Amino acid sequence: MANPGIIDEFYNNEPPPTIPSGTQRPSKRVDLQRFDAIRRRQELNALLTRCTCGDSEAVVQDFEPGDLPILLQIAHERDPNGNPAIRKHAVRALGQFRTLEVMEVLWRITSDDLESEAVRGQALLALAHVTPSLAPSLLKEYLDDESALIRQVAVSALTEGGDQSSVKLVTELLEREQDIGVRQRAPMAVQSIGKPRIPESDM
Amino acid sequence: MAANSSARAKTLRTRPANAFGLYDSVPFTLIDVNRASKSELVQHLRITPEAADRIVALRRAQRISDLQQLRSVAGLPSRTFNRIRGRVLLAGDPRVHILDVTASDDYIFSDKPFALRVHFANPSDLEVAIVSVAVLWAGESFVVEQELTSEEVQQCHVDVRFDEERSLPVGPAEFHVALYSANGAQGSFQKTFCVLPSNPLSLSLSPAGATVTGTWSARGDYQDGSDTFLTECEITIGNGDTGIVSMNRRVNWKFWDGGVGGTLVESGAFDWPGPVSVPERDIWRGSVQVTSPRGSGIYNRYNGKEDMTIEIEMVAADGRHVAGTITCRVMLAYGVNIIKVGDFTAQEGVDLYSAVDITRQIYERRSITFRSVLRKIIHDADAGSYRIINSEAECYDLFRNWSVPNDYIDVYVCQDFLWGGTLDGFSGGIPGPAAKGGDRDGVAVDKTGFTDGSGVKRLKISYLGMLIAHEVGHYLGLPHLQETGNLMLAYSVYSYGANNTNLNYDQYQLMLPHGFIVFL
Repeated sequence: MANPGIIDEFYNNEPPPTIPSGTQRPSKRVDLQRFDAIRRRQELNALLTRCTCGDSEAVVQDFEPGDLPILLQIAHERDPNGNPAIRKHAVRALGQFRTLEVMEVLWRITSDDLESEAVRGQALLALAHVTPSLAPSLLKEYLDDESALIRQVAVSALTEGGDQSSVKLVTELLEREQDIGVRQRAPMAVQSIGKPRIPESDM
Repeated sequence: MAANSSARAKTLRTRPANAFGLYDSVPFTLIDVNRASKSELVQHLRITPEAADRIVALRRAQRISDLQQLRSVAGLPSRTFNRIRGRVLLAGDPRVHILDVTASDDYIFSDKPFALRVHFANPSDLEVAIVSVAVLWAGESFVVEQELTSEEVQQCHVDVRFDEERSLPVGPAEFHVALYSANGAQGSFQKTFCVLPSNPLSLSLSPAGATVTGTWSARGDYQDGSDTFLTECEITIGNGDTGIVSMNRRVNWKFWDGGVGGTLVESGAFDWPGPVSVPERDIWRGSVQVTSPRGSGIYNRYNGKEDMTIEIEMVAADGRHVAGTITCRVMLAYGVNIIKVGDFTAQEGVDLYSAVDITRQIYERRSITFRSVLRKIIHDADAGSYRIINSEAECYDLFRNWSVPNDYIDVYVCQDFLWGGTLDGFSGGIPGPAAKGGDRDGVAVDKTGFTDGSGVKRLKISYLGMLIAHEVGHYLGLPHLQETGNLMLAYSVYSYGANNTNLNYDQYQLMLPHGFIVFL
């Protein structure tokens, strides 16, 4: 039961624990003015974990063209001691850069079954974003991936980047797909695929 | 006649003082497959001589720069390949790898300068420039950064120096090490030490089951069946000397009201069930449980929701006295239903409940604990598309279609979040409803999966523990708050080395009225 007055009933009077040498130690920082890439790396680490809670106000993560090498570097860093969320979001951020190198890296991650499904899935979505015209043919392969989660992502990605030809792919998939998650996602995709899309800016 | 409390104890297994953390990074070695001799490949990678021959033949034809090339080597079954793939260096590897972090003098001693030695591999000869160490300890976290000299880069190790001003007191200290190259590459490593006493013997108390740094209170748990209060805390004896210290088995305990020297509530003594011997330059740990029946002084204080100070004293065989204190109090509590959405591997399951334990400790630091953790699962066959959350609407559907009918918070741990590209957690409301039903009664988080160097699917325990705590905070009524180190930061819920787990007193007050919070 809710009890708004509950706090008044507590008597927390004991002296707090003390640390003889005090609770603060001064930080010692290196001036990063001479290390642009490191400074930006630290900023990107923070930016990529910014507003990751669905209860935050939506914030567009703007990346500068100069961020591309560092984002690629993060994507390369499959480090069990690093933060997988930062890497996953960096892979997704690569979808904002349409370069051959980005496509190659995303393709490598997507097709590497040693990667976690979360990173592969993000790479697949980013790849579909980078190459919208190729998306259906590219995603077709992943509709038969060994992992049901990747198949589910592939169907979602078709919703984002697919055209009418994708409806056929998804319909065919429904005939052979056993996994219930993919089967549930597929009709949603069929409903959404091919809806009028906003033309790209030609500035 | 007033009832008396009684105590019992047991010795706990412990980890070495210089490898203290349960969730620390694992030191490793890397073998350069383009340079290692056949015998090195066999010895370090534990592969057959035939497979080593084939690797040598392969690299003669072309440099091995991709794991897929290695995978194609006959005689490397997928199990072996998965075991070794995190231990090999490939040509052109663009990463900086931290292999291990040690103390230059093996151990860290209280209130004395020390240095951490960071060992690394730098396969592409990157210009490794800066090492950064975030320190989480009983006080406020701080950072020490240092530039590397060319000699250190060449030697592939650097000593990070902590001067007297940055020395640490006795107790656990967690070091989050990041090594940066000038092009922005980053290697990471986490290492925990138990700082040993310089004087050189100490006794300290901590809450039962504590695995994170910081200071907080022991719990007085009401035991329904026996109408008693149970207080459990852990004793750590640190020995900074080079000889084993034998302790007398007699343990004296006192509960004070108003701190040590205030009003003595109850006291007692018991003999430790077995010898107490503290290894040289190491620690010994034990657990003490005090049971307080109705009518006892401790029971009465807890029942009146008053806190107390526990003091425990032991004496070494050579006559040295050591004592430690900790505050104990009854806590408010909420329950959680941890619901796996889709099937998890066995290791992922272990990691998940380790993360939930971190969530518990985050709240216990603000005197709120778990009533209980109920383990639930929605198997793949039933979870359907909810395994991957794509939108807010899908979260609401999940909350509407699944629910555990009790007064605990439903925490759905999903396989993946693809919603918005950057999101990894969501709460049905701020606060969430205090009754089940509808589509707002839960929180959902990304399980934060990754594959470790041995090919094992894991979850990022520290991140997931904070993520669950953050979303549960929303459910209990906490909005985002821009306060350094706070759990409810909207920005940077977690960045490497950050310890954003604080809850302030105002937030504590804000959570209390929630209908799922109870007094145990």
